[in-house]
Amino acid sequence: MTPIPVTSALVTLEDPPADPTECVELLLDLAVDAGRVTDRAAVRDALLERESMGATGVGMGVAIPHARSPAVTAPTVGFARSTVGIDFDAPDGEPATLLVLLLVPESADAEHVDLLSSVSRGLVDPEVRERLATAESETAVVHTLQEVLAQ
Amino acid sequence: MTAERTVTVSHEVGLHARPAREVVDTASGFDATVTVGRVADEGHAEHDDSASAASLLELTALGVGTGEAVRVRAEGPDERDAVDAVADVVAGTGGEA
Repeated sequence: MTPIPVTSALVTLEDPPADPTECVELLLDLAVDAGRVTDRAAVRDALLERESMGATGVGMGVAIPHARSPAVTAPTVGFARSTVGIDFDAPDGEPATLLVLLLVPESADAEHVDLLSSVSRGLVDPEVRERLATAESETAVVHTLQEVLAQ
Repeated sequence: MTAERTVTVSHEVGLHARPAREVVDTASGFDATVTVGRVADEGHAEHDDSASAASLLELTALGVGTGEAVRVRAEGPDERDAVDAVADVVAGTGGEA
């Protein structure tokens, strides 16, 4: 059975490093520790290659680093938030405070686009961003992200 | 007044990543308000959303894939130039769909 994309093990409320690459690595570690990744180096390369094509800061304080890789075992959503904000080169110049990692297996091409667009659609809603920014527990973040994914 | 053009997205990755970023950069250069919506969604209340062409998050949320038709609309003093410039970048062809 495919595990649900987001669990509390994939969420941290601790401040990530302010360097974008180190932040991506921290999000990746959550996925590795949750057993979603079989080859950390391969997924790291895929994520950083995507960042090098154009960083994944999408504005409104959101960054969505993402990758598709055969070393990913199931569609996965990870989350961290930064109090200082991280420079993910967003077009609006806003540093990213909400950091959402998306990983999908190699086979899931359509799923990849769907996951990215549904997560983005959720994050367009200022109320969703506010809830993620102010959530006081990992579980509260998971609930919000699950609602986003269910829509 | 509103200017609009319908184009087919030819970018291999769809309206995503670098192409989406180019759309945002282009739209930001005009005074007109530019939106992008999927033609197939029009008339479907549930999905009839259009994205601000100046927001990478909204464009990503739209999730337009390659080969899909989208309507580019612009409203403002330079709407004709804006719609042409943005539609070209959305299409990825530099010309008509």
